[in-house]
Amino acid sequence: MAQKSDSSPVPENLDLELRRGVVVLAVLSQLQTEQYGYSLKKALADQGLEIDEGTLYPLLRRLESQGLLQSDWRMAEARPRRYYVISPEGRRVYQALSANWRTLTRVIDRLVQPAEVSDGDPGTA
Amino acid sequence: METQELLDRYVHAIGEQLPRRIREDVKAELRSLLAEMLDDRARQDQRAPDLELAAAVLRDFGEPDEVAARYRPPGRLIGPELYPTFVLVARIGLAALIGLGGLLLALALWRSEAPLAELGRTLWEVAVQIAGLALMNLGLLVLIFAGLERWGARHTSASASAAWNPLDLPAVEDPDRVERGNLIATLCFNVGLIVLLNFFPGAVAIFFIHDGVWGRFPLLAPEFQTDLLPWFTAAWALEAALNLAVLWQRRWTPVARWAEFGLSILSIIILARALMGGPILAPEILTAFAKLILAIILVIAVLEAAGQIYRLIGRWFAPPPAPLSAPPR
Repeated sequence: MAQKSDSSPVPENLDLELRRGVVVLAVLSQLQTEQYGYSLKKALADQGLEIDEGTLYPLLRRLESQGLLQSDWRMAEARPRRYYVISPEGRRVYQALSANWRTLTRVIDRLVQPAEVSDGDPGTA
Repeated sequence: METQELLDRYVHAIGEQLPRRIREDVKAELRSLLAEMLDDRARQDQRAPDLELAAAVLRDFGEPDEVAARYRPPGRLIGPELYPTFVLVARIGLAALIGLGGLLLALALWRSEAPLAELGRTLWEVAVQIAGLALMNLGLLVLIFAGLERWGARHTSASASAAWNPLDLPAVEDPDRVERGNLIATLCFNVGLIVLLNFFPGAVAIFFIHDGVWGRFPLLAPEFQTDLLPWFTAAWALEAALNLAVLWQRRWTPVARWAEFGLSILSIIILARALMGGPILAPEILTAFAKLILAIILVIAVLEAAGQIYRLIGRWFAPPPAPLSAPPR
């Protein structure tokens, strides 16, 4: 899924577990305007979230099959491209997920903060 | 090999493992995305998007089996890692059963003295037996693979992925490509048979020397020449005409494929008629042998026709390549 640094002490499977649910929220957040697969990957990477192609592109199709995204092919550009955009249903889900995310991060912040302070390593999440 | 051909091979290898309903759409999207990645990588590295770079992009994208597994809906009983092996084993099992059924059918037809109407019943009985065995075989395989999935005896692909080389991908076979040599050989064979059996039937004979004089014993039974030869001639002539048309067009078109299927059905009817009819060769013992050969040919023709209609129906229901069918905005 998302790429991680080799120097991280976190086992890769735990890192993947942590990011799995977040990726859907990140993708929905960036598809408020139309994007094709590769431009979406770059947009996410530019903002610090690297997701490999083998995860991102099948995810787009899955979200579309769930009715959260809409897509269509554009032929007028240099090569045919499939553009994705969030659907009305996806927008409702996105709003609900965002609210859940904010609540969750507040809770998790409270939970992890004491441990970080006691480790003498505050400020990194 | 050109860069585009390598990408095509890769996309094809993935597409072959996807359900038919999403195959063309995913392939079209992958073609677009891979071309995008390759161009971008070439810009970043300030070099041409050559074969080496394309192979590097494909290595990053992942082995076809893994990529296809991500596109497939999550399996309930058999997961994406074991699914390709399951399909392969199931196909081998089905092919073995069909081969066995064909052999049984050939033997039944050879030994049968029943009229033509009995042929349908024999075919039906063998088909029902094979279908029952196939279902049982499939159920058993599902149980075995579900067990493997459940108790973790799945293959680890990490080392295989590390060794995977995109340049080793097999070429994409074009099902509509004309194999000229094959068609020309069939055409010559058909024309040769038509000329030989219609204009020189006496040449089909056993030749011998008796008291220093050449003699011959004609092999073709008169009943065969009057009742069956016109039908065989018509089928061979139609096949020759079809081969000529395909050679002329340089490609198998859908119409040509349907015509090929129609000819297969015609051949099956004629072969069945010959099998259930009167003598073919003059000595009775040779007629029995000829009918055994015809029974085997009939079984092969039935299997071929089944394969042809399976492919035709598959193409009929397969969606066209997505970018070509999408209306421009």
